[in-house]
Amino acid sequence: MKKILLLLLTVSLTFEGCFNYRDLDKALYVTSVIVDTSDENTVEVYAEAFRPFRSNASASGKGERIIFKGKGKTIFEAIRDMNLTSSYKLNYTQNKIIIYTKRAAEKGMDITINFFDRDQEFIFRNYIVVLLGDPKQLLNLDIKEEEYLGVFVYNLIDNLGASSRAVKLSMNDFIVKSYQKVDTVITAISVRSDVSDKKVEINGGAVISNYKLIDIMTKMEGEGYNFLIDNIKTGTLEVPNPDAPNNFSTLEILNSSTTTKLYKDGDKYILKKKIKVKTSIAGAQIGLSFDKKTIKKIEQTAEVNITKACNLVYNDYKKKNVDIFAIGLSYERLFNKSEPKNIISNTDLEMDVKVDIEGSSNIKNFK
Amino acid sequence: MNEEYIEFIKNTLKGNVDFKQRTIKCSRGIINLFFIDNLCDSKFISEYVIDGFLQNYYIESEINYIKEKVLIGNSIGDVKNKEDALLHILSGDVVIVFDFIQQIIFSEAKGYVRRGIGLPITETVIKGPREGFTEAFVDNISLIRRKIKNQNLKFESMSVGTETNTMVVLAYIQGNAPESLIDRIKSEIKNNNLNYILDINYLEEKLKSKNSYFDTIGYTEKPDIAAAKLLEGRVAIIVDGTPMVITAPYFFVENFQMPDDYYVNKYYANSTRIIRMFSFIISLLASGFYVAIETHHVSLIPTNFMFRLAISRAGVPIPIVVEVLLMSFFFVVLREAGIRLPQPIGQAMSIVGALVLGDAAVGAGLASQSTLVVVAISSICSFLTPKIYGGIAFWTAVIAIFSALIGLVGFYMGVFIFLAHLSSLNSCGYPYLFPILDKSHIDFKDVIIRRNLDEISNSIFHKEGKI
Repeated sequence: MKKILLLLLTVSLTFEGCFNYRDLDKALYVTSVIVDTSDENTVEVYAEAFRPFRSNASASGKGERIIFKGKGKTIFEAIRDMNLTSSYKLNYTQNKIIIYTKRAAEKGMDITINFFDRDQEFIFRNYIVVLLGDPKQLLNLDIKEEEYLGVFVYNLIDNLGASSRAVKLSMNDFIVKSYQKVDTVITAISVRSDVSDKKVEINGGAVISNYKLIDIMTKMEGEGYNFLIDNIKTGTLEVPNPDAPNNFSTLEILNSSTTTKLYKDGDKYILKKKIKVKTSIAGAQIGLSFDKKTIKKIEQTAEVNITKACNLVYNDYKKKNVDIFAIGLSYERLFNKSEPKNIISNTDLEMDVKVDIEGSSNIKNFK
Repeated sequence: MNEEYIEFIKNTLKGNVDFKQRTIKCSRGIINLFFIDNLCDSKFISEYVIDGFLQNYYIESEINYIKEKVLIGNSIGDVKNKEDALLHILSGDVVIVFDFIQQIIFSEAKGYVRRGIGLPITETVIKGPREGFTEAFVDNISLIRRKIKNQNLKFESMSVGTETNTMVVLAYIQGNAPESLIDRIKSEIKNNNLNYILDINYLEEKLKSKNSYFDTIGYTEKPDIAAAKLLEGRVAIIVDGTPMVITAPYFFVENFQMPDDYYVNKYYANSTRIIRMFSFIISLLASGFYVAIETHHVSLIPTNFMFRLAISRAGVPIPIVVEVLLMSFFFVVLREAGIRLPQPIGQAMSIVGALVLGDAAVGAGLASQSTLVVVAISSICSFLTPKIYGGIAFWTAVIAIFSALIGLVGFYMGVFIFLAHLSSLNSCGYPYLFPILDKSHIDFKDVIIRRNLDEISNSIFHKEGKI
């Protein structure tokens, strides 16, 4: 026992491990990091940080939002550059979001992404997004809902269940897919002017191929893409009202699952997507007669709409030869050999969509 | 020879204000009575000792005649030697020395002032017996005997302490208690080098594991609990002058058992017992976990909560671990002050102290609200298991220090060392951490939850464990 105790004490006093003692209030906590690039080809980093301090006037603790900017040849140098202007060390363990400007993403994320992967303080459960706009405008926004931009955008993406059109990808998924050399779609955000003030909105997806932004996916394409990659939790489907053809009835998606099958058919590959969607009628313009025939018709129309949306996005990216549906990865897993070049251009999509409308009382929660 | 006795007693006890010698002249000669004034019942001595000699005009110079015809006290015996004579006098007996009979006898005449049987202050119950032990060991024996009318219930007395000659009584039920346990305890009591015993703890320290904050010997001031322990096959020790009775063996889980667990609704008793266990875990681990998370693993705290914690700690000049230890220290100080002061002042002092000190510390920026909350919860939880309060306070600090050194890894190390320490303890040869360790000799079923009384009201020792 004494030997074990001695060993434990020796270990605890000599090896500090990955972590160091630092009091909670003796650091500045970064909530979002914006990566930009300059015309001189240097990396520019903006960080929004939270600083706890004790107000001498009211003799109580307070929190303060501080923006830092750093510049350097590499992202690490830029981050260290930011520390030159901060009294305490910038701590990234609470970072919620990594934002790449469109310019930085187009230039290539591979020169900076490695740092986020390697650094011990950056956690993988946060999100990565592309900003379509000016980073300074984003940082200067006065967001009413949340004091910190990082927390707000994180919650915004987390809340995506409300829309089937928005795309979301965590940092972890992005890193994994990048290493698998799979083209990915990450969330795109922009600043939009609303009735009274400016707000951050999710604006479709940014298509990343080989660490470079190559395209922007529209919100309309987002729904079809989400159905194809089985990323729909909830959302809405608008279909024409069978009782009033110029009006719509809305289906709320309760649950959706997509199963994927890839097989060879002659010289071609077939990507078969079987989509099952459980929905409930959320509302109908003018009114709706709830007979079996009408329900059946709505279901069929919804199925056609989903098929159309999926085909639209698939054919678009097939034409661009960008494999955002991970067909190559499915091929490698299935056939246990390297994917043929440009596999998406030689693959046809086959859809089997089934929409079920359930009683409206089945809605259980918001998400 | 008897002159020698008289001289010896008088010389040894001279100068004592309470030492009395009464000389009576009877038809046969002179009789000397020696006794301690306040230890004896003076009415008893007058009526049943002195009166016997004075009323009998004819007294034979034969000791048996005196024992049978003259003295009518209930307990009369022979004095073996001079030391024995002194011991009897100091124990409240009257020693009778004749100048016409060689033998020296004593008559029991104990009659000192005793405290009445009162409520057991440290073991209050909502439902169940309310009587508690007193300082008089004879009362304590009778309290137990009243509950167990069994011919196998034995009370073996021993005189311990070379200077105090304190009466120590070993109680057990023959057939239920293992012989090895009885022998072990007897030998521990006999082979001590104590000069005096003023409290049960003098013996407790001899019996329990050394170098630990945890008591591996149980104690109670309730006769019903002592009786229950005896019926389970354990051994009880009663010491004259102490309103507590110690029981052995004693297991760690018994710290979570309260007197009325067996007298109230089973489900209610079990739920409160589980609450006590949770409270123990919280009180032991909360501070260490708080230190580890706040200093090394900030990323594990949800962001908004982390902001609140950081704001509450902003401006505190001392490190979190020192803050936690300091606040814990103040809570211990307040608790001590509350106990030592007279009850009405003590209560007010504790409440005012906690409120004022806490608020002032936060206001002055010396402590954060979150630390105060954690330390307060930890301290309050420890009050649910008062018998291990000391152990909790010590190990909480140890775990907090380990957590400060290397975060959660240190926290787990602290917990491991704590468990290793507990498992190294034994209670009179039986594993203290039962039922986690060796169960071969023990059949103790009343561990986590209280089962039906008919299932647990048995001896806790296996047959083989009794040898």
